[in-house]
Amino acid sequence: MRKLRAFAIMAVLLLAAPLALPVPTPSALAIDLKDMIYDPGQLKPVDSTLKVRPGQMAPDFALPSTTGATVRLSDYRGKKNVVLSFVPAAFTPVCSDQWPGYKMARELFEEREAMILGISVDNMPSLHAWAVEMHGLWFPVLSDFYPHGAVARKYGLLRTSGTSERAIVIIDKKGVIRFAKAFDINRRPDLGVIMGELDKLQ
Amino acid sequence: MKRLAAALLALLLFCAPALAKPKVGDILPDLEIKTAPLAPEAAYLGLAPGIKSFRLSQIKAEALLVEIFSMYCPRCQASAKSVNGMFNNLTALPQGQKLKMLGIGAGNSAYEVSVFRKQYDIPLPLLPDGDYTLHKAFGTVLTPAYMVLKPVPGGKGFQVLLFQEGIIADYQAFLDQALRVSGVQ
Repeated sequence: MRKLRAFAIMAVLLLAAPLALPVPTPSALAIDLKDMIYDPGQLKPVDSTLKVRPGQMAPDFALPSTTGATVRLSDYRGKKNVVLSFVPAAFTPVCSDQWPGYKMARELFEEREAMILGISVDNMPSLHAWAVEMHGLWFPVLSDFYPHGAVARKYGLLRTSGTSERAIVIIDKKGVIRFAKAFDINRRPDLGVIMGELDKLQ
Repeated sequence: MKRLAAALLALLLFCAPALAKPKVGDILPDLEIKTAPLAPEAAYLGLAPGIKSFRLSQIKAEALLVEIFSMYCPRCQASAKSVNGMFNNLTALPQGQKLKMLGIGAGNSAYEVSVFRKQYDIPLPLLPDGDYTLHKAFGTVLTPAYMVLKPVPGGKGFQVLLFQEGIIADYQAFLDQALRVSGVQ
């Protein structure tokens, strides 16, 4: 009888424990993106040599997107201008601002009949988590992870560290490269420069 | 050797204010903003029409409420409407002529600032800081950041009266606090 009572008390205590212990609220569990950022410090501004130039056909590629689809550059031919936005790495300071800026500026890209293809050499799980943290993006986010940085290498945008440059390549509806530049990796490319180059395609 | 140590110490002391985040009581430099404000912005700030560049001390105000923002920063995007509300509430008050608001776009070009202004229909003056000069001088704060600054007599910079980094939970309460600490009547 005493054992039964002890068992009952233990059971009640065990069941009640979660109520007594402080349970983290969702807001306490939430982590701001800025707290997840890894800062690599100042890096060599450009660490590769471009292999493409305006006037040539853009090398075609197919890469997996965070949505699960495979995106092929040539699928946009005849339909959209394309802005390839290479960024060095997920969860780093400049990159984590750059694409949210393009998210806000969606209308400006659409007015110029342009689709962004965001490309990083990160693997898919990291890119997926990053895109979710940015509350979704309107353009495809592509993983150039395996073979590692193959597309970045093809365009001459793979740095010796294994990340890509912070680069913009603008391709017209005929598939011809109209602008290609590796920007200083430590800074965002000026949106005004991108829009100015897109305006030249109109 | 002593001279080298003294030089290093002087360099450290000189650099320290620029590296540290601002806190109440700090003195920030009176920097030049090398951009022409829009005509309504110049009028609000009490600057001469057509002015091409200006120092913060040229703004006709007893205190400034400065927002450091970036067009690219999701938190700045999320808080833009609240900041608009704070500006509208401030300018509706008599004290709005004495405490004036402006935004500084850290690392933003004039084009990027104009995109941000248009996207959120922002009524307060927004000024580009494309090369991060002001951002660095103001302690490389995370965006958005807000500070109330009071000019130090003799053009010796601005004293920090209030500093807040990140999204503000209650913008009206923050404005009330800004009005209180700035002492404008």
